[in-house]
Amino acid sequence: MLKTLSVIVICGTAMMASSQSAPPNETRSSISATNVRQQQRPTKSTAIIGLDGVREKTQGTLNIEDEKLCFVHSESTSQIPAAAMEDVITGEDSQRVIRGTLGTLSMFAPYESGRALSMLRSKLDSLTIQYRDNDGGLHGAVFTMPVGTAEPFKQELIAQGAHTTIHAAKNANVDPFSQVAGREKQ
Amino acid sequence: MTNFFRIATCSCLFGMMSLAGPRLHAEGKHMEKVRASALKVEMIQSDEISVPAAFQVAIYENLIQQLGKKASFLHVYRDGDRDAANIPNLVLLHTTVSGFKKGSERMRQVTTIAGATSITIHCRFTSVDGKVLLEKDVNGKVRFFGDNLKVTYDFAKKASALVSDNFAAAG
Repeated sequence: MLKTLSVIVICGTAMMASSQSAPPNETRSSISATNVRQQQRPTKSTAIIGLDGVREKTQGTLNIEDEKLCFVHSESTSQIPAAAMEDVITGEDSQRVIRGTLGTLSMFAPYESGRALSMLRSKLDSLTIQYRDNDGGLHGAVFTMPVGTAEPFKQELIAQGAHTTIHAAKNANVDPFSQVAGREKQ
Repeated sequence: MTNFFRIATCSCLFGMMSLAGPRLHAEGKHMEKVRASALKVEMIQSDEISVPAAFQVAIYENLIQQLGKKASFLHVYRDGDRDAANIPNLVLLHTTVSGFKKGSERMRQVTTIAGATSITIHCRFTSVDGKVLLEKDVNGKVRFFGDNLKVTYDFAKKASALVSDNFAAAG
């Protein structure tokens, strides 16, 4: 009975994961510099660290308004002016499909099926920003967002006055997660 | 009778070692603390070792957060903060990545023992005029649970403990 249940759970989650982690090809291929403008619409995002007044791993919506990067979450908004950004870097990451409380509980699933569930991961993009406040103090913020949405955000921020140390064109064939800040200073 | 003396001698030696160990350790810890009124955290440098930008930023932000909690007797300034210019007894914290091994969260969760992520950062505390006050390597690790970025939190906790152990409020 337990075996059957475990198999059903694993199969179901695998199907769910494959649908989440592998976006359709047309979605990936459609992302280019030409449709940057389309990506200005709010995108679901998670602020991992670094935003003032925002707790770590807070979920919200990221968009660009009036030359500012806005993170909207539970009735409050945090803004970073694009002109204050010294560095905008994108990267790739992944996260568990089943996470949080349910993910923790899955560790106690029978026949070590919890371990199998942790192999199911969905890909996501990361957006790392370094910016200065009014006193000149350096801040950093890390966001995660759905696959393919970070680069258009970066391009739009650069268009609105942000700076970057790593340009997309130079690194088209490089794994973005291994991009190192400060290599190519402008 | 001979056995009794042997056992008694061994017991005495063991007892002395047990008592002396913590005392010696405490004496070592009882070094005079450096007086400071504020600490300015410089951005993490990683010229020789490749560290993802997200890690660099997370280390910097976690360090500032943890210093605010564990070393609350010091005012913490960020890199480039103009307000820190005229602060007396200002200490600068320079951090350089000296080792980084990016593990795998998936591997950790599946095997429990493999896939650890670790980072070693050389922390150098200097005065404004460049005099080195303290130098130490601090490492951060995530072995079992959590994502790779958790290594930055572990490092920040240890680095702020180092600050609270070695620095005291001036005046």
